[in-house]
Amino acid sequence: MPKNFTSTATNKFHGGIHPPENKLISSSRAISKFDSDKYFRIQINQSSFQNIEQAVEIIVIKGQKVIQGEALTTFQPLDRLNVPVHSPCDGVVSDIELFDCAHNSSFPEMTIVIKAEINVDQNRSVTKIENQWKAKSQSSLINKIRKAGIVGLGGATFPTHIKQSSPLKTDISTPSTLIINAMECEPYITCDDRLLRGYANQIIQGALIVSKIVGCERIVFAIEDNKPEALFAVQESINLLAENKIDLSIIVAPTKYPSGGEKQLIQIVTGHELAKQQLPKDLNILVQNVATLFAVYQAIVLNSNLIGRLVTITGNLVDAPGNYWIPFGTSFSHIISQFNVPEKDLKFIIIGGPLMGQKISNFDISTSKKVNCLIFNKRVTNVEIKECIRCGECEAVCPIKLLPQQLYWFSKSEQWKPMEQLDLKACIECGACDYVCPSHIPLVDYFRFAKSEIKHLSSKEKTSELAKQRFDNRESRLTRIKLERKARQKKNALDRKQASENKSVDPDGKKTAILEALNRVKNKQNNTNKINTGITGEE
Amino acid sequence: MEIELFVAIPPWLVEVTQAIAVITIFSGLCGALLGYAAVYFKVEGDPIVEQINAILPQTQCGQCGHPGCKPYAQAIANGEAINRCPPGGEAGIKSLANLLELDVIPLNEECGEESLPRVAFIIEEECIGCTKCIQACPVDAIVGTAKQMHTVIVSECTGCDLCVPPCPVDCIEMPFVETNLINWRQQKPIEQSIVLN
Amino acid sequence: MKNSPLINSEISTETRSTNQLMILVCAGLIPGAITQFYFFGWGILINLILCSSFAISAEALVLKIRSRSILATLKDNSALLTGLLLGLAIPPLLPWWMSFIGVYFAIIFAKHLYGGLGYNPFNPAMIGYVLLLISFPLAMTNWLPTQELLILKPNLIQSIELTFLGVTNELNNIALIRTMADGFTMATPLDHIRTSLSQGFMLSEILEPSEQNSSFSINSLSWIWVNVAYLVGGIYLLFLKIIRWHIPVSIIASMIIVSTILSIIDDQIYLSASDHLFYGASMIGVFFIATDPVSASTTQKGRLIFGALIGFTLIMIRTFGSYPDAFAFAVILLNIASPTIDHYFRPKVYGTKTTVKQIPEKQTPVKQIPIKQIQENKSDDDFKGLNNE
Repeated sequence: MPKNFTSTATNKFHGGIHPPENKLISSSRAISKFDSDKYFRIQINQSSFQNIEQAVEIIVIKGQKVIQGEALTTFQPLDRLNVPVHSPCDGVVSDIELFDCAHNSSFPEMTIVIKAEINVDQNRSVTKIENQWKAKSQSSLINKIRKAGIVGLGGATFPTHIKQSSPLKTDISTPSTLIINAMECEPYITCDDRLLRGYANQIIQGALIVSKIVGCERIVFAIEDNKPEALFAVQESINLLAENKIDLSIIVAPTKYPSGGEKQLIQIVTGHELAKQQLPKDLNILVQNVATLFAVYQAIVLNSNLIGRLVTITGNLVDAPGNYWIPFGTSFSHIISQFNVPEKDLKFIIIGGPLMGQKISNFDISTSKKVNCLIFNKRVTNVEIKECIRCGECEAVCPIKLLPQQLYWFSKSEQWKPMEQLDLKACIECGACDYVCPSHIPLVDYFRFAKSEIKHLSSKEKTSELAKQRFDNRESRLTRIKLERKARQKKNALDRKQASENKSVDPDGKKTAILEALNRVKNKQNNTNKINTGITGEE
Repeated sequence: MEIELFVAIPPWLVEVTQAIAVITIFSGLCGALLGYAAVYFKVEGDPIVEQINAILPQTQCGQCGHPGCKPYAQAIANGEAINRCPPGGEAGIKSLANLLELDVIPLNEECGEESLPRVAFIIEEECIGCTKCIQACPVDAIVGTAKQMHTVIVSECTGCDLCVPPCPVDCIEMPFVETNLINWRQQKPIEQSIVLN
Repeated sequence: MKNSPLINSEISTETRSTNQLMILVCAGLIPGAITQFYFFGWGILINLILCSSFAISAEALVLKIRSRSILATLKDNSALLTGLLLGLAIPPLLPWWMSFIGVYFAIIFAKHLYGGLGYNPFNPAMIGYVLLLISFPLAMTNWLPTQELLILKPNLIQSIELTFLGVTNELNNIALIRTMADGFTMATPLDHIRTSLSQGFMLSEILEPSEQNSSFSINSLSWIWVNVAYLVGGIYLLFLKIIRWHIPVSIIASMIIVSTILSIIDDQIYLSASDHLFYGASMIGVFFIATDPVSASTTQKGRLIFGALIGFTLIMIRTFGSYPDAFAFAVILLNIASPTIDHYFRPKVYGTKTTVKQIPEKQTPVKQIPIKQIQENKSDDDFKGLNNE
């Protein structure tokens, strides 16, 4: 390895904010032990992008004994999106039911409840360490990652196997790059920082696995300059790396929110902007969070499925803020009791960071793959929301260079067309505008509202188009049948007319009468013959 | 001169003839131009009707008194009121008023009330397979055949209600469309400034 | 509100609120106000107190009529700021009812009829000022000369009497005060220069300090000091990042450029850039009036254009128009134009200037597509939105 593989970022993105970091609250404590609960509630859908048509299939039944890491759900063969969930402990499936989940809609989600028990009788495979992953095919590695239930653990929970499923190409302007996202730009969160300090080697291993899967030329490790210990740990482990087949470098970026956003990170590392409709893979880039890479390492090398993650527990109500390995499905109320949070002061929990996270006041829900941080803070005096004074601060900090203030006006007056013209779709909901707004307007809430309304309207448009087509089809079919019937009637009328014309040749009807009489006689004779033969046949 | 012998035409007649000739030729040219334009710039269908039809919700429910959305669009183009579409609701009236530069008027209550989206549901145990609902459905969203149980294709159903009255055993219900995680919509933030004293 | 964790987390209190911004702008006016008080006497203080109390009472009245929360809205200090700005803009010892009309018109018509703070398309203080200027041109253009030049200096009581009654026991009326020992009526420097120019004097004659116009140079010096004081206040606002640099810098730059071009053409008729910048209401306008965020342009590029056009219009009206100072007119004219400016000078959204190959935008299927295909496309569409870690 060349000595100078660490460099400072030269590119930067527009806007951004410098909120108080509040990271020292939790980063000063080493990763500590967490006493798990007896019950775990595992939501069957824990990735942000589910297949709507093909639901996840639950493969356990109530009362079934499961072992730690055993898959609870599976996906159908044609389904390329869903990822399974696994049991975090040995135990018994005690319930499969709808439970509240941490979603803005507060709709319940299908959940598998597992009661921890020691299952001695179950045969379990001995976990063996896999060092020969290099020999494995890319598709088998991706399959293993998917089966391990890995999603993006930076908080977005996008299924990792989809990101990795398209191999990266290389061209001159954009060499194929794996960017390791260790920015962790949101205030309070320190789990990636702590993970790097403790497991830098494993994360680099994970990065090597991913780089083999997507076939990239270089790995860029991007980290903010407020995490010197983590940076040092990574430098050490890169120095230890025996082989140097791959170009591995570190970029240190100045601390600025939201440098950890995928688009912003790409801009910092390469200086390129993603065009509308473009995905990072169109620039031959794959961005992976450090926690995701650690999970990849665990899945491939240690053969263990994703059953828990490092979670930052912080805030001024927690007695021992820090980072803890918390199994998925642990209920918030258990965490509250473990950390001696005074319940009378606790009005809400913030999941994720204060800028992009979610405020939850229902403590009867449990952790999932998207929970990377839990903030337990005392309620601060409520700030008043004032009218927008059009100061333009929001525009100055928007990393996408949108006009949040104008979008806000349009969202308030529910005018969707101009919002689309102002590129509302490009908004990454980072909350920088919310932060700087002197009138404390919840701008991102307005944008989410507008986005959801626009989505709703377009789906409505689609269904109405469908209905129109079906109505038109039906109309044309009905008129066709009508015409056919008319044509038939016409033809019948014509036939009748002809028949009556034939009649008119024989005005008295005598001729026909005679003919009919003759026919009758003939028929009778035939019939008697038939009957006779019939009788003889019977005899 | 030989000609002068025959010139008995008075000068006013010449002038009149000239004027008539000029006007005839001119109008002929104009006619040809219009005819050409009519052929070469022919507009397929009535664009305003299409635009109105695009705004209407295509429920084909007939609550407006017309046998479908297209006929109502045609009627609106001919000057009928724009407030006769309950499924389109207030938003529909707004965008129609916007398109036709008319005033926004409240929904005509004679036609019905704006309600949440519904979808037809056939209680299959009670269905006798009479096919009457199939004939009533404007978008062919009911499948089934004579003496066989029928069922609704939920994704195609517009919730128009037209299948309910023909059913002889009243086995069709119109429940509201359930909100779930997929069709869930974000709430509009509460405006703090409009808090009264 | 319900979903935003930011509002309820500790860090939200770190940024300045609207209330704080407004009060800090008011604080920025202090050096200018003190200087004006020093040079023009008690009249300034009376104006400030009158106008701000009128403004607050007008705001409270309208809020009551509109049945909004009075205290919560008054706390945003925007009415106070409007009152202070108008109080500093009108001449001292102006009859109280004129200030009353100006302030009430500003608050009721220019602000609340449009929907209150945030919705007013024009700067309310300037609308009030322009109303007064058009309705009472004589009273509004009669500035007192500096205290130094006054023979009869009205004290506090006399000033109050003059403001409310128009006369005092000792001094007859304002016109008497304004008349100098030499029988020469004093006006603002810009007004004086304008009148003199129209009488056929050259600029060199007007501006050159001589015995004849010694009173002018004393008076104009006081105006320079007032402008310097506002400049200090403005720099303080810039330093605290309460206002952004775009508008002040572009106004000053365009004023310098336009006036320099004019004075190159004829330096005997057209004032130089430094005179334009330090006479009249230039500095209070540049830093405190044009930068009003509600009525100004909001995009960064738009603000540069907005400021440049204000500077241009200001010099044009001052030089060729019929008013000696025209900051209010220039600002109001450009307030009308600011939505248009915003529309044409949007920032380029992320992703519109890519350096690498661009994928042609996929047309969303709307018409003439078989039913089956529409259903299949559904999942593809959802895919694209998710490129956010």
